[in-house]
This record gives sequence, structure tokens and C-alpha cells, in this order.
Amino acid sequence: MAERQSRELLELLVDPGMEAIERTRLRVLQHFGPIPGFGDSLRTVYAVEIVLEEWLTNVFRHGTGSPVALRVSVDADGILMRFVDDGPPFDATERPLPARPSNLDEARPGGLGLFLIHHYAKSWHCARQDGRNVMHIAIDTGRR
Amino acid sequence: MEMLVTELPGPAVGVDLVGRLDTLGVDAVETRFNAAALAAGRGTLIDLSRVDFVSSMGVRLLIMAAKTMKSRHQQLLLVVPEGPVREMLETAAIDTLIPMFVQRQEALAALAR
Repeated sequence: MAERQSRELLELLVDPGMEAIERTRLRVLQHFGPIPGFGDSLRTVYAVEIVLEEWLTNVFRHGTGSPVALRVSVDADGILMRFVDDGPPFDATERPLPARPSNLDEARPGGLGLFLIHHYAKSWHCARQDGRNVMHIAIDTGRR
Repeated sequence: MEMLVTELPGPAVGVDLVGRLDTLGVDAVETRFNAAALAAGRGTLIDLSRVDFVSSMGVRLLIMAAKTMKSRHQQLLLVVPEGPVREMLETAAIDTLIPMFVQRQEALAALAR
């Protein structure tokens, strides 16, 4: 898949591995950073970074080892991130989110990734198309 | 991710983390962090003032440390200034599990009590 980009769009393939996720994070921030409401909003940047880290880690942990196709677009409505992978069918929106622990005994060290994505996303949607998982995650920019 | 360890009165140990507490960051410091922060018989103050990102793996590291310290009846305190990192940790309910202070001086005072 050829990489495409314009000021408001970036498409690329993310290879499996944490180093590749880190390169992707830097690439996305470098590309969209100058856009008002994105790079100048600490919360927006944090939200984008959480989504990239948590979703890509999740896909690579449970997937086939193939790259993930990532598309990031920015417009007046915000940021839309689309992830496409060829892993087993998985709909994150149907997973129960962990309850907030009230004490250490209740706290579980893992399982927070989807919870955090849900918190930072304006919306999310999973679909299965042509044998692939397609995950859309929308994030508000700091323009509002 | 960098990690700095300092001696504190008590006796206690201060662990200052610098950088990103994401999967790569946790991998880089976890062994040294556990050795320093979870030393038997000492309270621990973890300073996140110079941490600009925490992911679920970072939260996992903190929860595991808190559980260990609780089992030993030892104090574990966090310093987390106002900002996106603090917001994230509050979202994950870490503030209900581990005492969190905005400023280091407040945490040091609590450690001495």
C-alpha cells in the first residue's frame, strides 16, 4: 500500500512491534502538529497517543503479525483514525469495560487499554469487512 | 525513559522517572524500578513530574508496585502535577489506590508522618 498524505490526511502501514508504534506516533504528531486544535492542545495530543499505543499494541498482541493499515484524517469535526488489520474477528465495542476499582484489592494490573481508548474517544466503531477488522476512532480537537 | 534514585529521610527512597511511561519506557526501567522502589523496609515516593505520558502499561507498573508495598505495610506515594498525565491517572482511578500529590514537598511531608 503506497503511503498517501496531504495536510489533513496521512495513510501508512504500521509494522508489528513497539518500535514501529513509536515511529508511527512521531510521524503522526509531526504531520498534524501544525494544525490548530491538534498540536497546540495537550489533551488532544495525549488522546491520539493513547489510541495509537493502546489499539496498535492490542492488535499486535492478538493478531497475525501482519502490518496494520492506519489512516488519520483531520477536519472541522475533529480527528478520525482508521485501523485495518487481518487478525481474528474482534469488536472492541462489545467488550465489557472494567469497573473503576475502589481499592487496591479490586484493582487489576491489566485490561485498561480499551477503557482508556473509550475515555479519550468521542466515538468508536468496529466492523468486519472482507475478512479484516476495521476500527474507527474519532477524537475531538482542541478547537472547541 | 530515565530513572533517578535518591535517598530520602524515613528511611525512604525517591524514584524520579523522566520521559514516557509507555510500553517501551516500562521495558527500559521495570527491573531497576522494582529493585529500587520495592526495597524491603522503606517507603517510596515516585515522582512523575517529568513524565509526559503514561499508558496502560505504566498504570500496570504502578498498580503492581502499590500491591507489593501494601502487602508489606509500606508507604507508596506519587507526585503528579496537574496536566494530562494526572488526568489519565485519575481516569484510571489511581488516585483512589495510591496517594497522589501535586507537589513533591507535600508528598515528602506525608512520607514523614
